[in-house]
Amino acid sequence: MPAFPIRVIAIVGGGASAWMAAATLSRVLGASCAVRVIETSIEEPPAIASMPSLHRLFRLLGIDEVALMRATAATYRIGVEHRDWAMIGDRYFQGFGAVGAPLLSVPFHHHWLRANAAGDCASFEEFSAAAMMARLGRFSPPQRDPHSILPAHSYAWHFDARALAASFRAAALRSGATTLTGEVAAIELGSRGDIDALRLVDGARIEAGLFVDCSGARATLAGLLGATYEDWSECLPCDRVSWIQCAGAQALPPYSEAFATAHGWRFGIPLQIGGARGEVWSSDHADEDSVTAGLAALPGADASSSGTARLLRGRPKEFWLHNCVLLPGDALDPLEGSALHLAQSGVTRLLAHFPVNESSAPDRAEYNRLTTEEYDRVRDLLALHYHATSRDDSPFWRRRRDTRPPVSLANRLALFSDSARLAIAEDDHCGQDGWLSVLFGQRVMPRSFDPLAEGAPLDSLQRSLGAFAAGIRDAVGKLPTQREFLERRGVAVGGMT
Amino acid sequence: MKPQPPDRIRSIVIVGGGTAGWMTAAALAHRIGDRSCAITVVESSEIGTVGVGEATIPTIRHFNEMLGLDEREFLRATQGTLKLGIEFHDWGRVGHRYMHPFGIPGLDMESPVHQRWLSVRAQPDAGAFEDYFLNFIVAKRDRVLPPANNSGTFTTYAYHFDAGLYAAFLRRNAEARGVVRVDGKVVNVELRDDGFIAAVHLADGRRFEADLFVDCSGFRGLLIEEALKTGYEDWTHWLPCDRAVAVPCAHADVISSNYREGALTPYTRSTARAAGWQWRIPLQHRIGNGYVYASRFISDDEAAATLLANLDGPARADPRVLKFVTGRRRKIWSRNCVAIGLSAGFLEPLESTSIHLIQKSISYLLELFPDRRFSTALRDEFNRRALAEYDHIRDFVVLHYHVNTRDDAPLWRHCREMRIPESLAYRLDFFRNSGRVLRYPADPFAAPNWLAVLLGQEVWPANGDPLVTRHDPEKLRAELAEIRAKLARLAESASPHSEYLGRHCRADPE
Repeated sequence: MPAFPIRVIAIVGGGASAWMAAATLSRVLGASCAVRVIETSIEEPPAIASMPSLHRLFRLLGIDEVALMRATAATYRIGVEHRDWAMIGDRYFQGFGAVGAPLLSVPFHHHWLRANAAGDCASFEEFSAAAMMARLGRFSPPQRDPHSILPAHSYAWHFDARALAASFRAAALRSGATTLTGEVAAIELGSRGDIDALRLVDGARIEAGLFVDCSGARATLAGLLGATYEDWSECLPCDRVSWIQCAGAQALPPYSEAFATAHGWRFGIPLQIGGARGEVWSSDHADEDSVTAGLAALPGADASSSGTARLLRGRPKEFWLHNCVLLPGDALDPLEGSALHLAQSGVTRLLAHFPVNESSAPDRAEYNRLTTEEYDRVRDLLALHYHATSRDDSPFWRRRRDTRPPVSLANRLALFSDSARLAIAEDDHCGQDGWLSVLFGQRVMPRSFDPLAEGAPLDSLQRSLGAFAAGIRDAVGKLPTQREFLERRGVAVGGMT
Repeated sequence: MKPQPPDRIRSIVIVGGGTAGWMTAAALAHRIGDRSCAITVVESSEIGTVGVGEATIPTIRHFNEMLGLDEREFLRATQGTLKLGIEFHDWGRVGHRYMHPFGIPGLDMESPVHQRWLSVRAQPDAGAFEDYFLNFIVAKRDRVLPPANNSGTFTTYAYHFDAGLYAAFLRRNAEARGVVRVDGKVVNVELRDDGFIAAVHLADGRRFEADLFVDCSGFRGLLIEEALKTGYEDWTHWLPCDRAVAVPCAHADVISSNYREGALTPYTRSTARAAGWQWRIPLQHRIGNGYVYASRFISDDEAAATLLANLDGPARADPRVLKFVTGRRRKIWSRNCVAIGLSAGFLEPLESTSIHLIQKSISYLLELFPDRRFSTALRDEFNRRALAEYDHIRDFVVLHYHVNTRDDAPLWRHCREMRIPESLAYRLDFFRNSGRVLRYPADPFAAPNWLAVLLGQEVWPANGDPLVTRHDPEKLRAELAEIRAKLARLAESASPHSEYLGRHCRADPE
């Protein structure tokens, strides 16, 4: 079939990312282009954490938040609690939204550093509404109250992964996408190196003008096309994720947990009923049996629901090669909960660079440039967790000390370590305050701070920071718990513990 | 480990007054004055200043707002007028005109109009691309939307003003905040053993030490180049104009010595000529004019004659010739010296970016303000940001020259056939393929600006956007007609530019 105009898009995958891509493409492209999903079997944890960028997608797809939360046993997610990363016994919270507020046109953290240099000061996260909600077990969506003392925050969700995929699937089918089940056996290449068609194991042949690979670490189409990868194993040590379903925790926290272990880190993702626990680990330093056994021993664990999948320690050198777009975000270390964000971002970018002619080389080049930058930024933040640590209690952590961070992260750390300046792209997935939470949480302490922060007298700064932190604590203390809020909104499903 | 307080800079010497020097002094005094940092401006009343960029882009308003300037007072003090865009004559081809209006085409950013317009532009009722900018609709009738009512509409504006008066206005502001002005000529720059600047020596024997020096000495770069030998990246092969001849003239049909009631253009005009281009910048008391030209294609006398033959009213002074080399320093911050203004680089004022470049350098300096350790990481980050600003603007200016079909003069053939910067070639290829515009966060000119010039100079993309062309053309035409009707309604509240200024910010006649 002629490659242009594109009449059919074939998506290979089956998880939430694949169906999100299908729902978005079929919604935006309408009748001009058929979207077909080749549903392949997937291995993924039973719960998935998301980022606030998902709000935009819900608006685009016309998804009702409350209905979706009901259908997916979802809970709110205002950030991640980290433990044991820089040193055993450490904890810090990385919340969504602002920390503090700028003063004298100087970013807040410089004032915080100044107060810190001079004596005691509340911890950095005490100036984050999200972090304090996490600490006090409260939740509220952002209010548009200009008089509120609370720094702006935002939120995302934890979802039941299968239910979320089913919801996106239903949205995709409503806007005309079609589906068939099968495994890809081979690709048929055209004269220009483009994929003409997929051959499935059962012999079916699927033609399309554009192909999207959402098959996670299996990288089905990427593999058949011979995509090459940049290796990140030096800075991202974990190449496996194992999981187990758990009975519900009593507290229903509005955040995920990321606790560093001897050979990776352990996650906890709460759902309305139960949730998922798991470990992200390095196969150089642990084996599947012992990791799975460790998970099965967790309180409330359901040993029949465990699984393990591979993670990708790298990225494709080209995300869009020939007529195939790779969305491998699912296969990255899930520490930042960036899987859905990367899929969404990739699909949005694909639409912004949708092929206008047969080769569409300039758009492809730009798509690849932007996506490479995006993945490299995600890598840098992930790598920071493994790099900025003084742990030496296991071979996994001792090995970290011998590895160098990526050049872009090293440059960023050099600038930050000198005078607390950050060079963050405006479209960074995590934002300046997210980076700061991780930097301070990982005990990266700059030598100095912005001299312009010294504009106000120190004692008045200390007093106002003290009052600010107390005001945030007070205001957060008046908010409902997540359980109360879910019930009030009619989100809670029956049988919730 | 606890962070240490910064080893604070205690003294700053700014070499050179003028627009760059006083903008820098006012901004530094605003942010770090009234504390233990002395700010001194050394300027010589013997040395004239180059009246750079009497026209600006909308970012100037952020700068004025940061200083807390009152807009009307500022316009009165500087003979200022409002600027809604730039009208280009004879660019691309002789006889053609278009406007690059500020703001966005259409009503909002959510539903961009240009792809819709491209897909139906051949239709008789589609209009020109500029017709979708509120600023153009208003400006073509010499009207402005009152800034005070700006919030509800989508107009965005800048100013024209007398740069010398602006410098004087900022000087008063800076001196009120404790900046000390020293009248004197720098004759020697004293370096420390480590190559940093220790002090500047004046002709009268005085010596001024400082922790930080700001070089606002103009083209020659007294500190950054003559003392620190930073090096210059020459862009003449892309931007061959190397001279400008400037002359102010009276408004046509003047009644008082100020502008005539009823006709005052709220935009800059740029007219392409055989060996360069001519600017026309309307102020309250006069019109600024100049011919930017390439000396290898025209003599100074011919250029001056062309300029004088193309004025609205009588010349108010003798034409003055300026020489320059387009390009920028390899570093803008070197050791303990930051170059701001023409000492950092020169890009011809085709898109009125001189003052923007000054203010961006100032704001990067404030964001990355050093302490006495002068860390290299901080300096590198400053240079990365500030140099990128120059490079983006260079590409935008080169674009105007490059995309032309003029065959009437060697300059235009040269510009059409020259090898353009790779970054511009990438952008241009991208646009020519799909009509889409690349977006770089550091580029002061966003997609609407690039589109105004690309489509204004009739660069037509080879393919339409399938996300738009999949729709029925009739539906697209109806949507565009509705957008234009809404814009026309928004434009109804506009008042004549001259009336607006007369009522609120009339300057004294000169």
